[in-house]
Amino acid sequence: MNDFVSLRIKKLIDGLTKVIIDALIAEDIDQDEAAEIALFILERKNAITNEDELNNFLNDLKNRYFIFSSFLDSFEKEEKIKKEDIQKIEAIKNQLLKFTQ
Amino acid sequence: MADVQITPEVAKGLAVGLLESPQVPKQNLPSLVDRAIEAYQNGQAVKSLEMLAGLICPYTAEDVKGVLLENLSSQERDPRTGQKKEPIKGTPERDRYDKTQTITEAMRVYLEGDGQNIPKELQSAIIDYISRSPLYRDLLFDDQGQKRSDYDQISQAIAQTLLRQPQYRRIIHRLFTERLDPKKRLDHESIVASLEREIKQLEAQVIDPQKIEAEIAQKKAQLNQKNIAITQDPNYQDYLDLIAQLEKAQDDLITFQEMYKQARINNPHQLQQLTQDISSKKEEIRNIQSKLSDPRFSNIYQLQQEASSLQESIKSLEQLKQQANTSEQRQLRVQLQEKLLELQEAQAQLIAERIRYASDIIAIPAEAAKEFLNEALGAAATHYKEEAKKAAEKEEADKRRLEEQAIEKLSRRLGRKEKRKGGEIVWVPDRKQARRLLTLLFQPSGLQGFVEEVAKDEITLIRYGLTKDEAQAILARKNNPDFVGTFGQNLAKKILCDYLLAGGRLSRDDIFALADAEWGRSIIEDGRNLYEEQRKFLQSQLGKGVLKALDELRGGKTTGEWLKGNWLKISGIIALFILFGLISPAIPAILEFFYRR
Repeated sequence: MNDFVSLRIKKLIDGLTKVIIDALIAEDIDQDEAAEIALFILERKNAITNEDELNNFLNDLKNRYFIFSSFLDSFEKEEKIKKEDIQKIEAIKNQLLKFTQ
Repeated sequence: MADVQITPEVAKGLAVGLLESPQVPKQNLPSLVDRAIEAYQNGQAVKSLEMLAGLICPYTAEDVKGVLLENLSSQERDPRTGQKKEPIKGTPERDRYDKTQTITEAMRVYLEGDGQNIPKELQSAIIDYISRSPLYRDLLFDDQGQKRSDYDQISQAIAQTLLRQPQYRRIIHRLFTERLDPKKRLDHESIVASLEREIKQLEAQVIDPQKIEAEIAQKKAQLNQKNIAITQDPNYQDYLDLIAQLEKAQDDLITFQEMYKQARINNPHQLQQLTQDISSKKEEIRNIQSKLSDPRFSNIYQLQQEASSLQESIKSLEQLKQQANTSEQRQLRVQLQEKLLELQEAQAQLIAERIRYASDIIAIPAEAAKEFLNEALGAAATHYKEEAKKAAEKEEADKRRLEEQAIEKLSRRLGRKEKRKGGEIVWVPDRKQARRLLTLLFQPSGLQGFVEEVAKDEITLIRYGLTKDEAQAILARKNNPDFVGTFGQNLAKKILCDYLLAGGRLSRDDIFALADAEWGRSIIEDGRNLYEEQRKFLQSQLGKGVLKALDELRGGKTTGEWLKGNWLKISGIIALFILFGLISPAIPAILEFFYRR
């Protein structure tokens, strides 16, 4: 697992935990549901080794539990922007490198 | 300060304030959620999830001890820690507390780990449960109820297997989290505390005459004791002597002083002598007083002082007793009595609640085992139930087939007679036999009597051509009212048809008897339908001409005409039977013709 994926997972777990807690406080879910969701996340989290698996996990989460839909949308959007930024920076770096050569 | 004016702005502000969604108060959340939030806020999101998922124990050993002390101890709080003190050793309360504490700690350790760390106390609790469970009885005990030689090995293996199941662990986690919530408080704890506060306040206001009387009596007894102690002091006699000397000297001094006053007027030359006497008496008094100040008399003085203080108290109490008879005081005393009774009741309830709470905690491993086994065996039980149902259905189907065969055979034979046709035996409707059976049906015993007669015994049924199994199937159910209803009705409608086909007629009484009974109406309805079927069948087999020929037998009126004229007009089942009766004489001939073909 690369650092980027590992970092994303950590950030994701933080965000998902907050969503579960908020949903519990707002009584959108009960403790049994929270237990089921938490168990699902913990079990699946350990099986993620690459980005594709992470994306599958996100899709599964979104499909299974409504409480995550808006969080996951913004998470994915943010990650996409970040990824694009990295790609742009890489491209600029490459251009600069070519230019210096 | 001027009153606040409710201006439109203020009203708007109030309305907006009311409409704002209230913040969910954190203190109302279950402790598990609180702990999960705490872990999350400390940057331990995974731990928080593990708590929520039931994978780790959310409570520390201190949390657990705290909630047990709070709910199982009746002792005062330790002012340093604010926690209740442990119950007194050697009391049932302490035994309960210790037992609960042991099992709770074992569960906590079990939940803290990954479910593989099994404390022996927890294992013992499970063994205790399975040893009483009928599920494992044969495995653990012999026919005489004695433990088998491998009891320990097997029971331990079962307990360990159970304790290693994730689902079992989850159940324990759930029960543990619910029942050992550090915020949990027994309902009667606060009730008792509140009553105690009220009683304290009332007691401060109430003047109890009996209590005061008792206090006065007590103080008087103490005073008496002091006085006795004074007289029993070894220096008391000396003290009395000195007091007597002092009193005498003081009296003498007064006398001398009086004499001195008189002498100044009447006898001045005595003045010098009197002055000397006075001085001498004063000296004597000082000497006695000095002797009385000796420390050997200090005990007497101490006792006298205490006696004096007691007398003062008695005096004050007697004054207070006078005030206790006001109506306000009487009312306060009644209130106090009521509160004391309430407290007594609440304390008893609290003890009961403590016992229940301890039992609920101690029972967690067994309850979890029961729940787990019920869940695990639930699927198997359903499967076996379905299988049993299928088997029962099959058995039922087999029985039903036998019954159907039996009914089929009986319906072919009952109310009919044997007739040979080219060496072949056929059974044709017989009016006499059918009538005999119908007469039975018209008896008050109805269908039951009819069935009793037809299915009297195995031999009777075999005579009707049934096999032994078929006869047994009928005999086994002949007392079942549902069976009697269906079996009897099926046979009766065939017999009725046979009777009518054989040219039988129903009397007016017969028709009314049938029409009055529920089963009779059903037979009539079925008979009517059957008649229609038979009629259509005969018509299709023999042609319309035959029926027409039969119709002519009816005094020149065709059945068609008759039906046209009367069918729609005649309502009611009895009329239909009359119709049966009218056409029936021709039927045997048709049937004979039919059988001959």
